[in-house]
Amino acid sequence: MEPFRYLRAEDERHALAASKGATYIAGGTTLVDLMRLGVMRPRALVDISGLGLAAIDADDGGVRIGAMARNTDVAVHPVIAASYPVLSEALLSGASPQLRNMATTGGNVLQRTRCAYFRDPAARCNKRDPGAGCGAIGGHARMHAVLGVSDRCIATHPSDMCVALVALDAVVRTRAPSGAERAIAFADFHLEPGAHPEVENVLAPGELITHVELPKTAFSARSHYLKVRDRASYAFALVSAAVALHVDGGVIRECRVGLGGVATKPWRSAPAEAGLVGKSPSVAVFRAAAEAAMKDATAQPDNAFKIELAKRTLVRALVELTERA
Amino acid sequence: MEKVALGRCDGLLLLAFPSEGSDFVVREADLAPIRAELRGLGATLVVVSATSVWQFRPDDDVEHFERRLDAAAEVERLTALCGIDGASGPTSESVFLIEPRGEVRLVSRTGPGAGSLAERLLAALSSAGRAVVAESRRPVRISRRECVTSALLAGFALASGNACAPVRAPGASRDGGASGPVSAAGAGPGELDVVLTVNGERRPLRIEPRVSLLDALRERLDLPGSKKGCDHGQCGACTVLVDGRRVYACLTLAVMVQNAKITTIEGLARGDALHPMQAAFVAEDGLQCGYCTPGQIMSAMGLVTEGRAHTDDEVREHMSGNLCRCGAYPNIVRAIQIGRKAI
Amino acid sequence: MSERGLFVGQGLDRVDGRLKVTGRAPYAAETAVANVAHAVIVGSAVAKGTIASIDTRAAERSPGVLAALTHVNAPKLPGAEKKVGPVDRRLQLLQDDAVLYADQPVAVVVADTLERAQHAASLVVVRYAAQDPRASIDDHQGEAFKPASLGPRGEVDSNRGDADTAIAGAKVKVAETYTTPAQNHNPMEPHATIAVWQGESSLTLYDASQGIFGARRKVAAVFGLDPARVRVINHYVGGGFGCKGSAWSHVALAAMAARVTGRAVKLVVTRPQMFAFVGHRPRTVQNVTLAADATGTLVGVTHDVVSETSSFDEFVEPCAVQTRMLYACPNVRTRHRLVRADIGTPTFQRAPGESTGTFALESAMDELAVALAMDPLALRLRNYAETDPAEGKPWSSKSLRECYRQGAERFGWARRTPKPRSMRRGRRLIGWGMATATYPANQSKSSAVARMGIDGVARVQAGSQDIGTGTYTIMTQIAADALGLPLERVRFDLGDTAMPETPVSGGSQTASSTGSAVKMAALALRDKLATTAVADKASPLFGRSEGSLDFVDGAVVAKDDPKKADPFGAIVSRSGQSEIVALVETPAKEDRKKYAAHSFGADFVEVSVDEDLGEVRVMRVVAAFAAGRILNAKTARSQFIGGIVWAIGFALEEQTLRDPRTARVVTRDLADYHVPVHADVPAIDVISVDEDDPHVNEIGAKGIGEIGITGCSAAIANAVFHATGKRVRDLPITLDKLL
Repeated sequence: MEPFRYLRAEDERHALAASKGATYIAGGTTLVDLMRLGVMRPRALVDISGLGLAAIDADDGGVRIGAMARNTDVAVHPVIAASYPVLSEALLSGASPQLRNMATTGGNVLQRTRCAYFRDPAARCNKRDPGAGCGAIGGHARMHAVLGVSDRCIATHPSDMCVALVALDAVVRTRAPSGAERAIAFADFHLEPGAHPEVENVLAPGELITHVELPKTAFSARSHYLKVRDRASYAFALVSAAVALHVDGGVIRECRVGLGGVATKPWRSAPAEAGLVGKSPSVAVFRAAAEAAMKDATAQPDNAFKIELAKRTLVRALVELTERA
Repeated sequence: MEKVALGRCDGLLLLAFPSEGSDFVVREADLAPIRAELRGLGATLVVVSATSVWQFRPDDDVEHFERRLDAAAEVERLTALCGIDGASGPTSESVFLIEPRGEVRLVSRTGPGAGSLAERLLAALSSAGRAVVAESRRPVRISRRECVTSALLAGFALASGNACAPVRAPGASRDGGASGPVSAAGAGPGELDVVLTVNGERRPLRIEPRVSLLDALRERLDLPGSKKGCDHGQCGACTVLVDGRRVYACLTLAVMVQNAKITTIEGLARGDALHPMQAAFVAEDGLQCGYCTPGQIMSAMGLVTEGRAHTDDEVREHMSGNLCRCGAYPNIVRAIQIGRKAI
Repeated sequence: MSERGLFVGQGLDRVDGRLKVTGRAPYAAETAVANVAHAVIVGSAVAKGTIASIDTRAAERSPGVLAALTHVNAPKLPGAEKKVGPVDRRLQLLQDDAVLYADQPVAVVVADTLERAQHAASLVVVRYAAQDPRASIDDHQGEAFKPASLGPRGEVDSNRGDADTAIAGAKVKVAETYTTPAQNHNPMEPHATIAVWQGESSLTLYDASQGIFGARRKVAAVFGLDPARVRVINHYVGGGFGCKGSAWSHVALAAMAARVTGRAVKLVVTRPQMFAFVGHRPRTVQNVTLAADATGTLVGVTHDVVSETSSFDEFVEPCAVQTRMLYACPNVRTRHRLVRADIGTPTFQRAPGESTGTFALESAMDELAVALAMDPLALRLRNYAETDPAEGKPWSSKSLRECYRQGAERFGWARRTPKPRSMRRGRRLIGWGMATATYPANQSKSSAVARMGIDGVARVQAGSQDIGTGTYTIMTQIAADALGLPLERVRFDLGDTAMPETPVSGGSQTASSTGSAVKMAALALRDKLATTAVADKASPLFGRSEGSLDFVDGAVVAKDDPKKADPFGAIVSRSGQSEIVALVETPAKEDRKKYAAHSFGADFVEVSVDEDLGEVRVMRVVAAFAAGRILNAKTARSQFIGGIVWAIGFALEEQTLRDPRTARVVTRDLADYHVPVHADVPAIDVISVDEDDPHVNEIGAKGIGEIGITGCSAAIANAVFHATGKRVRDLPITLDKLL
């Protein structure tokens, strides 16, 4: 690990003032891991664990989750478990209890890909080393993305939490070193790799995530997360689906479909949602929506199975959700 | 193992003539740090008193000889090498160094100093070890024997003159960019003064900010019970409790948990009494090689506190952050279910 | 020697359990060594070629760095190329510029702290003259060559009867290709070595090792030292499974770093490096043909194996060895071949040969049962081998039929409906599968020493290793019984080459080899104590014949007058010696060669498979094993269970994948290389079928460390077929293969 300067920030102002050339550290589960691999090499770390950003506040308008709220605490929060079950389920399906005790909400939003080529400094990777080429394309790509890919990068966004958040119309609240605050719609927060896989989100240098907000919606309470993986636990998703439905009078009035494990960013599927709204829930309707969701998928030989698996996973998630109600 | 002839060794031989060695009692507790120092020096230590001779090799039982009965000839040979009158012995506390090629030098002087003999010996050895460290870092190296010799000279004198016996510092002071406590402007990348609260004890440390909690425990605080299996949060062997919550020590920077209470596997038992969870792991054979075991047990402690896993299947899910390559899983689950009831 | 002792057989708690659950059992890297320096290996970025240039200037300037060793400045080692045994490996010790596989050691950086060594290692700049490497043997089967030897596993090829003719004329045939991936052992404790020189020619290594005597031989040879002056110590091993059975490059590199820096040096292999230069289970491609008559009687069998090896060494995965002996069949031909790739040399991994081989053979048997419309268990019983078909010898003991019976009964096998996809629970398909398990009862020369002191405590030592199997515990039990001592008065130590020499802890042979030695040493000590007592006028037993004596509770006693007792400690005390010592070396039992000795077992597995998503879960396992005398019911059960957990990983999860262009391992950590987690493992029901085997060795134990993994992966695959109707012949059975 490269040597670095360390600052424990007293408050937001202090953190923002120190942010130039530095990286914020919260739970450290992504950052320390990647620093030890030599993939990330910050010259300075600003520790934001003392900023008092760990609260989870619920009111009539929704829930405001502090950036430092740990994954465990969010997952078991009674309001989230009851009113945003997809988020609770997604968090509890991710990582392990130890990592969930460490990982924070803001950190998880910024979780970086698990692509083996990204993580191996001796391999080629455009994300780690812009212009170096992509090792995964033409290499082992079983875990890689089929949606939102480019010829520069097919790395999967690995977060479970983010797939739930994109299905909950979450909003990311930030503060810039200038003091300016921003509210960023979750679906707009992450970027597809395109020509610049190294740019993963819309944050400006030094901009600090302070909160994630969950609005109250008609569909949030009836939501569900389903994760399919290579072993029963402690594994990243091959495919996951976050679904939320507002059904009234036997008809889907409003819905959200998020997909994980298959895309370069937490994927909200507008085609799938369009295929569901106005219809009565049925396996046939779900299957048609799933077909629409994966219509533009582009696979490598290794991960072609994900296209069909994603469809089946989405159908199953919707079936389980409608059965549950 | 057969008894090794007194004073025969391939590396350095240290010969100590304490002034009041006849009542010298070898206790296992004193021995561990002496063994560690002897390993670091690649040395054997022989202590000669008026009536007894003890031979310390780093990985063997201490051998005790009745000086007149068992070891008369060897002691005579050794003392003669050192130029001491075998019958009356040295007039003051002294330590000699005999090198593999047979060169001998007196490296220490008068006594008796404060503290027990074991403590004074340890201080001398420890000082010699630190000198090796200091010398091996120089761009132009002096020979190993010279630095050991000069260090022993300094070390024994220091120990003798010091009112309270020096304790082996965890992590000798090192060069480069020391910047003291973390200031408002941040500190590092050199070493910082950090205090960790581990198993109820405050443990001061001087470490770089990049040192993980796991490496702080294992490499600097003599607490190797927390294991390193992957160093990347993928195996759980390093699980410890931080403020009562289970976390991976390998992904935790030590500098970030200064204000927290850290509990490791070494802090679980009360004296000789195993914690019920530990006892259940033994009784149910929830271990084989034992390397994942401290992490499994600390994780189980976290699981019990969390109170969210009750059935066997729930325990399996909530313990899945702890790999066991030997495959002791079914026994671990049973141990947890039994152990939690006894807490 | 079938007499039952007080302790042998009992499910006693591990004697090292308390140390392990308190974190006070020091593993190799945890040995307390003051001022130890830290070494980090720099691995090659490419898999084939030469080092064009290597620049260590930045590393050397980095704070705290003591040395940066490369092929340019590393000391030349007199025995770097020397092989010390038939299965010894060629090491990569910075002696030249050749790059033979990815992540091969190309530099070693030593610094005063671990963090500084790690960082400085990242500053070493290496330029390569790289060539295109070969990552896989799959497209190169035509290059297969016959290896020089199968090591201790018999002939490379075998031929009995005329298999091809028999198969050509047979009524029912199965001819299929089964493939298993490269796998890595991944013990939880990474390989680690602390090296300390005492002077110029004496070296102590604290080394994570399954074979300390082999490590001593190897390192002594490399450095041109007298093996007697190399001491290897390892009291606790954090798992091995085969990879710690050889001294790999890092062991000698740690010693080299210590030599150069004049410091004690600690070198811990990183988890990604664990995939590179400490061996792996090689990929296998196995063609199996089974031919039977209409009754299911096997008439012809062939088993042709190709496995991968490195470009510079030969290691053969002996997959077909069990095919020579598992079923009665007059016409059997087997062959082992190798293809080279630009990879590190493979090595033994838990049940080498039988794990991979039984997957193929027992899958094929299931396919044959389907082709015959016969129950898979009935097919195996039809071909039950009453004597060893390979050599025609009688079995030393064989209770496989009893394993089948008890396992099937406990599992409820009779309720199985034969048709695939005929059992389900909600959206999950249920499948039941079974297979036969087998592993040879190995034994090697071993030795042990037993001492009695005036305190009446027996101190028993054998070099050996406890890799988690329970060696400390069973040896304590064996010695206590042989001496007639309570357990608390027996102290058994191991893990030090200063103790009597023992074989590697591999091949499931420690209990049989070193257990026999410990027993014989304890018996010899007992006899010495008796001899001393009856010759001593001060003894209440003076003048008695030794045959009239018994050994009870730490004393020699007269059989006819139990009140006449002479405690062991008193005998020693009066003898004028500080202790009475018996050192024994045991070869394998004399009449052992007349018998074929194997452990056997039967696995019954239930899986559930999500009908749409393909996720496979093992729901329950019933396994019955007959492995001779069980020395400790508790630790033995753990060994069996552990093997079955390995089979779950083997069948469903584990695979080491290399990039096809660079030959770098891409599954280079424990997130990408999946081993089973808690949630993958159901309750496992192990039946231990009692066997009294008077022929196999002094203690009647056949070995239990490896049989658990054999057969079971096929049982899982067979259950998946029964659930889904899909036959997966290429492991692991990941869900994409079932969609």
